Amino acid sequence: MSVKPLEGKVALVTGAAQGIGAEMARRLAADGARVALNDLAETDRLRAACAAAGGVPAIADVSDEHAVRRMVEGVEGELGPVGVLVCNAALETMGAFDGQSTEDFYRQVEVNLTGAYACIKAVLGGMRAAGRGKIVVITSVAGVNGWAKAVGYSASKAGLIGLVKSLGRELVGEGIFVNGIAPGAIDSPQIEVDALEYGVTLDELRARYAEMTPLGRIGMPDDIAGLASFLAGPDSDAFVGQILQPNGGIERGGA
Amino acid sequence: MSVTAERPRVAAVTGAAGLLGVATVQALIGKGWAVAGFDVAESSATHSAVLDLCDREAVASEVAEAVSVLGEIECLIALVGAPDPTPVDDVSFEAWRGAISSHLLSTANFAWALLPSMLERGAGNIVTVGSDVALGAPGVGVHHAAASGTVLGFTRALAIELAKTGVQVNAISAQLPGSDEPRSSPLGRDVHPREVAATAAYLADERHFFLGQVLTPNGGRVI
Repeated sequence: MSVKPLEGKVALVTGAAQGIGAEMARRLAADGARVALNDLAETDRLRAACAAAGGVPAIADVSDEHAVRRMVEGVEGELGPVGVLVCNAALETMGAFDGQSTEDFYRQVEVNLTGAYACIKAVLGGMRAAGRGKIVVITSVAGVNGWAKAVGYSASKAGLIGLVKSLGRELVGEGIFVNGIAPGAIDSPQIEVDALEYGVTLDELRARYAEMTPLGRIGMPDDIAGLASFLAGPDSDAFVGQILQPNGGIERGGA
Repeated sequence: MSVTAERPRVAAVTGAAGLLGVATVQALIGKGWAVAGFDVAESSATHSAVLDLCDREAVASEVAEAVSVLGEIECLIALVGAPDPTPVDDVSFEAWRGAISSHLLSTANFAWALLPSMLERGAGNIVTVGSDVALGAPGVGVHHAAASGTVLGFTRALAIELAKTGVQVNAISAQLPGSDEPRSSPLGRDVHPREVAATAAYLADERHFFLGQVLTPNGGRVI
């Protein structure tokens, strides 16, 4: 049996209580990493995700820079320096652009974009000291291609794409690799927001998204988790500042 | 009680005897696959076929032979065409046609040979691999860039045509061995063939949600 690709690594996954985040944490752990699972509060869902991944909880609102710093100190004290950071925590609110409050609009930018900024800043010291690190940012097809009635979400996710491309260039010389994943429609709790907006049941929404996805199915969290593990691992150093788009073919241009 | 050994999954790798081919065969075998290697020379694959990749009938017959030896082929990794630094003024018509054929025709020949069984099973995975000069990376050989570009067009269109069939088609556009100006990339070193091979092996080995995409292990030459 060969050594697992993430053996000896510490991975921090934000927004890991459910959906894609929980699945990524589970996969990174299965591939050998010791994992910390971030979310807003230590809920039953987060405890279940931690149990599934054999990981520890790491509580913070990612948009709170100070809370993030304290969280990363805690994780580093408990598990060691973070070698793999997956910025996944996200907030989506949907609705007509001019019906959305400034607060709702900007809160998405705060969580999705500023949250990634704060988390990356907090782990950089440890990665620099190690001379190596892998940062995987979860953006969205909405950031690549836009999504009607999700303007704030799309803007925040497009901001992450700029962050990935710029930081990818800036940090690669220090052995720190930054790449992004822009998933299409994935069957995760986040789509409850979409179902509510469109006034359909979750099953109807899944069918609608499967229909609009060329591949003919909605994506599953483990479709994304395998890719996150590849980008977190030792075989993907040729990827620098790239946006990978596992979206079932919805958008096929560059990002 | 008899125990039947589980048969390894089977991939076809074209250009299997080249630098990238050797690395790809190794990566897949490392993940437990059996590999049918196709090239103009012997390869280190589980089953090696020597043929002209641009000859559609030879491809069909060698694919059939490989299937009879290893079993049905689940995944095609089409690695074709070596970078050629000849300046555009000096590219002969034969070299031009050779570049297009070695990229596009060889890829299409293997897709034609493998698709009937993939469609019948309702599952398959095709990965085309070419140079990132097709995406505008600095490099040499207009004919080579044009040829790599044809493969990207082929890949994206085939992906959509087959989208609902269970066959997933994607491309890798990489900095390939033999490209020049490695230091021009943010990574600051050449991309190693094994890194491109690892990307191909990821697409072969993992359940994924890519369709008609271009993955770019290029050291950041094109971001």
